[in-house]
Amino acid sequence: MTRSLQIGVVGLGGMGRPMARNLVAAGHAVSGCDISAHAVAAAAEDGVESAQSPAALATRCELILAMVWDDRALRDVVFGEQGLLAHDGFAGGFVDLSTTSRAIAIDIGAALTARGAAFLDAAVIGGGVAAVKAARSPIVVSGDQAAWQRYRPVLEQLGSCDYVGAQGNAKAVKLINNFLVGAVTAANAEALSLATSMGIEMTEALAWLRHGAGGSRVLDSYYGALTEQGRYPEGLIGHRLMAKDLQLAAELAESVDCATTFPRFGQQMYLAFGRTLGPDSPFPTALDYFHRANPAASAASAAA
Amino acid sequence: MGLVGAGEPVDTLRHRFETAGLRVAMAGASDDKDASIVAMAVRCGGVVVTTFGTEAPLRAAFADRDAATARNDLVVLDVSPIAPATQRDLASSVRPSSVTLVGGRVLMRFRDGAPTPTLYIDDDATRVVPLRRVLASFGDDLVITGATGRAKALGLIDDLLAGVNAAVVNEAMALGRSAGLDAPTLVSLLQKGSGATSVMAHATVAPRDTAASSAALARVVSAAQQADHSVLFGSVAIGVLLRQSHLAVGLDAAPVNCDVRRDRQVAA
Repeated sequence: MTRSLQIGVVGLGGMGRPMARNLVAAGHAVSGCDISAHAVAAAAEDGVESAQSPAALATRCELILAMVWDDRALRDVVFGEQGLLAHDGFAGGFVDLSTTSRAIAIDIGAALTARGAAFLDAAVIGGGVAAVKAARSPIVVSGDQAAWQRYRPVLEQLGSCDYVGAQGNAKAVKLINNFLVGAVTAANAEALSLATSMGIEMTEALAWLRHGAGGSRVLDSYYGALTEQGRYPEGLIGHRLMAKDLQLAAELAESVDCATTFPRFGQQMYLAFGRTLGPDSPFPTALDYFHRANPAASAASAAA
Repeated sequence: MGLVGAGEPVDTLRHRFETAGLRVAMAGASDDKDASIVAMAVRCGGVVVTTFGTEAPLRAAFADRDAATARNDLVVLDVSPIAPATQRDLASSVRPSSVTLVGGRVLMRFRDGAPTPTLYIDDDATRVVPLRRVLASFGDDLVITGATGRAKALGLIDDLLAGVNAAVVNEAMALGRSAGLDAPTLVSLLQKGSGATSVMAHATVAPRDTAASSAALARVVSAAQQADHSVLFGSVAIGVLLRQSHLAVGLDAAPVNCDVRRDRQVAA
């Protein structure tokens, strides 16, 4: 049986809040903080005690999890005036589950280790908000192996975990996964728009092609949900965040001297989708962009 | 029945037809195809299945009216990856002669992980009596798509989906290797995630040669142009796949076999 811990959660948004709720349900004493007072108040309804800052969490928690927006936010969580390292005595474990760069994971790992704390970089690589709520997310974890062994029982209360080795590996897997998701989604959107132009409704195209050579989880999950339920799954990130993720993938490729085309191309396309459809519009709405850009698809879609 | 064409689709079709008890006469790519269609029809009771990489041989065959009408009950089921507009154009150009041209595509579907060649055809093919045994040979692996040209359109969409996915997966695997990740482990993890694709899952049983995928995408872009539709990701993927082909970093074996060291050596 997993022993109960004092656990802190930084970032109580779409992913962080259900994680905190699951930890409460598992019997842990959970505190949380967020830049949004509304998010903190909402999490309090789930039994999450509010804290003012990551530094405040560091004074009372053995394990702290983060699920924040980007590298800048994560840097602030660790190195900021009210960050973890502002509290001299923090010697517990810190697990970052955000979509952030491999470089910052390595930086934070070095800084925390030097202060006697432990750091694991981790990421949720599938299933979306629904899987997080059900504590069934596939999660990758890397870094300090002793810390992995120590905190594994807690992390496995959030989903199915795979340990992938050296610090930064989990972030690399996550960025490659999100690169695939972003590029395949946009390419699928383009293909479905072309099908519409050629007189094939999306429902038909999906029914006939989802089990073929061009099939993908994107096609099933996002566009399958759209055709079957009339809406995309809840909690999908917007074009702005997908552009950020693709930028991180491009930077990872550049950092390891790997020639790639689609991360940068995809990033530029998602910026364009965001300008046309709104930066926080769910990223599979790329379909609407391709419809708008192609009058035949637009007319056929409107008629349907 | 006759079977005219070359490459992997021919082998798949021949196997299907012969398994169903049909006698198949073949004409390969090196033959004079515009003569072969007619010769085949005469020899084989008037039913020929054709599969060409481009529309040119098909157009040539039907442009020769004398040859095409040498037998007045010729039925051609063409499963080449041509554009729907081209098929409609060809079908109308051979009428009002007694030659019947109907369209289809053979696409791969995965059933319980096993690749299953599936014949997609337009409605009008089902109304051609001499074709019934040919269609029946596909059993449950026959999909009737609707109006003329829809099977060709679906084939092109499948080519677009699979081609771009292959290009993206290749880049993802190359990136993973360069980042020091173990390729089989990465494949296993990615297949659990939101980025899972059929291309990655089935690459070892359904190899897609990068140069062939690039050529398929070029046909898609051309067909899209006929439909006044721009294809951005497909166009970019043509170049990416060609580069991967040149550097042998492609799916010709499997994405997990991408050889990034060679990529780097060539680049250097």
